[in-house]
Amino acid sequence: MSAILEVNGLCKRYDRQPVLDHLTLSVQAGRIVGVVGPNGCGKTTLFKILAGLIGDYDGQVSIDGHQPDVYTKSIVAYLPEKTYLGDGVKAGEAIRMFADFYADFDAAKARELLGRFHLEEGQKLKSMSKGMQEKLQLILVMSRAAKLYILDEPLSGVDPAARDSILNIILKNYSENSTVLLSTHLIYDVERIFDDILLMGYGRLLACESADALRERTGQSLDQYFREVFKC
Amino acid sequence: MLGKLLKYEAKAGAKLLPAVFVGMAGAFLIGMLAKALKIVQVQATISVLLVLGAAAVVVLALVLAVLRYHKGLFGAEGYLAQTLPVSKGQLILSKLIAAYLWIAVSVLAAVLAAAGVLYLNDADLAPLADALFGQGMTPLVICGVVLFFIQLLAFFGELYFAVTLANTRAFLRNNVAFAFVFYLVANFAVGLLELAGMLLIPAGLRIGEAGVSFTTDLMLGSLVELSAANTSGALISGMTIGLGSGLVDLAAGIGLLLAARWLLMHKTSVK
Repeated sequence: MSAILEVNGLCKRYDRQPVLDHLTLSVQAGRIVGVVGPNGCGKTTLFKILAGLIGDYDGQVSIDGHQPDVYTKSIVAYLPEKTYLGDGVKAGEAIRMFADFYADFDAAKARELLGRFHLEEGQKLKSMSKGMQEKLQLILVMSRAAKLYILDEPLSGVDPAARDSILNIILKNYSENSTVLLSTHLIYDVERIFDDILLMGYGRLLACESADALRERTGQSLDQYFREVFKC
Repeated sequence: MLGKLLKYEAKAGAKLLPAVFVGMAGAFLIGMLAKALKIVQVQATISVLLVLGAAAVVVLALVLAVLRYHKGLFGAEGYLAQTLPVSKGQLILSKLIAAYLWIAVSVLAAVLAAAGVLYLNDADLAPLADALFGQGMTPLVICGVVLFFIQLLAFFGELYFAVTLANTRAFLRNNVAFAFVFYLVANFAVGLLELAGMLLIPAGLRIGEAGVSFTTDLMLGSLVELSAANTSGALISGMTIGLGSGLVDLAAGIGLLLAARWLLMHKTSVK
């Protein structure tokens, strides 16, 4: 498999505080990659750069051979932490909008998932719970046949049952050839699905290897290893 | 893709302004009823409401343009807008065209409201029509309308540039306050250039006894001549109104919009 993502010497500062400090990494296509690290370690910043939301950074970023641009946006499906749909938007309108803009969006699949998760097309975002809103956004993102899925904390703020259903959406709807980058603090709940791990701390990459290799090397689960590395 | 972006931008505006248009139309109908029934107090109240509505609808359209740009690109919605497979230029252009559309409709609504007030109060429209379209003044009116829309381009250029600059790394923490300051600075700078352009670019309209004609005379020269003649009666007749401000607005508007696009591509961060 070739690399879908290559990052070389990536630096990003907020004010004078470095958030990403000469970050270098490579992600192979067809992998589910867990991006883990403590709060403020730069996961969201990295994702925002990959998604094209941050333009002022130093270093090189290459997604499928391109710097973040219109092409990369057409092959990257990004789920931010925030709710980006307006309060008054209905689920059906959001589906039509995604179908308008993304050639790889499968509206029928999105409608089917909507039904499976008891969401109605006519339902407005403001009448949905946080978990329902997150499910809707995840349905929109996972109904694309993207080459790279970037999922920023898709499990935060939802109950364990919703977590399971969200993980199911991810696992059942990404294609074998695509890559998933998923950040989370709930490592225990998710580590079983990771092929690889990117462990970030203080703007740097602390580990970038297969999840199995890391477990074997440390003799610990990912969750235990994380707690040991970042204990206060 | 630009067409699709425009569709969603126009829809976003459609949630607010049409309600105001409908309200104004309803007020006018009530005014007509009051006029027919000769209820003078209601007629007067409706007239005041229509005047206020005419002003409010244009201000609302301008506020909507500011909000759509700021929230649509740098608020939570920016997470969606800026990750769509469209260029930054298309994003800006769609917001600009939608803003123009809503302002044009709002100005039309304001003009209709003003006409409605005149009608409700049995005003004689003939002198106004004569002043606007008689006595060879039509070119001046047309130029005024064209210059208004060109000036709007400079306004949106200043606005979009100010908001975009305020969302770069150095100013991100207080982006709203900085956007306001940058807008004032840009507006002042463009205002000075407009004045220079109006006075010093040799293109204008000369108002003569026979009407209005195009001239390459400087407005500055015309003002000096009028000042030397020291006759207030000749203040309008024989005066040249410089059109250079329009050229400056056009250049400033395009330049600032391109600068905003560059900043959006290379220097901004969505909070």
